[in-house]
Amino acid sequence: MKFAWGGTVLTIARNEERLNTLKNQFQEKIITKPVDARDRDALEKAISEFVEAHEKLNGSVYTAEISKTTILRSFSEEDAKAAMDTNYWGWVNLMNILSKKKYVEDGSSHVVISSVAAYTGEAGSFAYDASKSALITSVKAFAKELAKRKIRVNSISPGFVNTALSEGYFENRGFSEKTIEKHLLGLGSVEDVSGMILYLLSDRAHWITGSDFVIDGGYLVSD
Amino acid sequence: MKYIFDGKKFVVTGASSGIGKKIASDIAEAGGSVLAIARNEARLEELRFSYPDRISIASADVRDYDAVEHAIDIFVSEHGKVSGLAHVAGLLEMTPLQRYDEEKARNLFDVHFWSFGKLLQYVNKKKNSEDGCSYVMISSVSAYKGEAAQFALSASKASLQVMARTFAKEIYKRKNRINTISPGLIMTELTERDFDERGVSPAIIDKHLLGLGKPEDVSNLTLYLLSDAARWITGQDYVIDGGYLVSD
Repeated sequence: MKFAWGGTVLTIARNEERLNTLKNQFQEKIITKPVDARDRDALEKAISEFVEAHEKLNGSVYTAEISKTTILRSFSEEDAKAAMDTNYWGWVNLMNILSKKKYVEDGSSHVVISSVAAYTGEAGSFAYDASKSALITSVKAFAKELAKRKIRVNSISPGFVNTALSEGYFENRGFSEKTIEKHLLGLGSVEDVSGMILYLLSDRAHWITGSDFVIDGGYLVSD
Repeated sequence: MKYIFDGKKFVVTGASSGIGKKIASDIAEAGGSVLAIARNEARLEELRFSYPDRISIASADVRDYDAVEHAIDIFVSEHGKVSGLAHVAGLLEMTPLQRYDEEKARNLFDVHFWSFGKLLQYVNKKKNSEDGCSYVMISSVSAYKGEAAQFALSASKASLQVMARTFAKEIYKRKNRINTISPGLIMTELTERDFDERGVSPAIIDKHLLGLGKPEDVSNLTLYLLSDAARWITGQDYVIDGGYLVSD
């Protein structure tokens, strides 16, 4: 499958060094802004500058997340709130900013990454799981609010994907072989998720809104 | 976005009209070969006429297991093992509680549900399918809503989702995958005829916030699930409904 669009991307993350690696690879197609997704004003400034220099946005992808262990018996409220702030409120702020006509085109598509943990509720991660579940529900609310301008909002709920973040997660939490085995088709790769994101961003998905797309190699259905 | 299905083979049921026809055409357009199964031979001929090299047709009722299996045997012997299957064959039949016809109600299960079980059992045999096969069934938003006067349709479509979750666990060792798609109201010849006969409340149409759907909307997502890009997706239902389920 091939996408043909060569789009320009405003990439936002805290780590400037890593953003620059991305920038070096794609040059003028990538504009980088080292911003913490929780910083609403900085987020809006970055978007406003990008739109001024280029054109209105055709969509957004929110993948910022932190995953801290929050065991009921011993969780730190600070850690729990940090997960909720980055994973959920950061996205709510983004959508609030992007609900303004001056920043996005009608018919634009917005995708946020939730998690299968929103369905299962994994032991020791209530805050992460609740933040992801909150996303799925709010996607439906925002889908309704933005439908008049043909703006679409959807979420993707991946199973465990091999990334730098999840590798740390496995080590910290001592994930069992069982959890890994429950991914009947093995653990996922970043491409498995990005393919669906690009699909949802594209016009091929112009009739899809308010839905969640589980991509988990069979994790949720396995015993 | 472009799909590349060069050298891949797929079975499509309900291929003579609407969503099934669009899926068969889109696969052919992307370079794949299709065994198109439906009852209406004249319409299948029309479809084949558009893609004579890519589309093989079999005029068969999906409830006739022998005829369907025979068609698959011929297709596999001529083209090779299949890479996937799209089960679209469907009926639209009202079954109001107070006066439903049991035969009609059971027939909905025969066409949507039972025919697929047998079809999948046959296609999933090693002699008929490659490893890494993808199977897609068309379910419906009615599986979530339970539409009034449509208990049999809604239940048969809901059962397909359960079937997908079950079979996903039985077929994964060969990396084979199975998923369902739940469309909202799609304008096809079948639904248009029903609109004319029965009339559809404007409320239902309005609830599709992005308007009513087209066969290509469902076909696009079906091809995504059939493609290797979806190789990590199994046991899921994907709703594509223009906002119908989330609207008030």
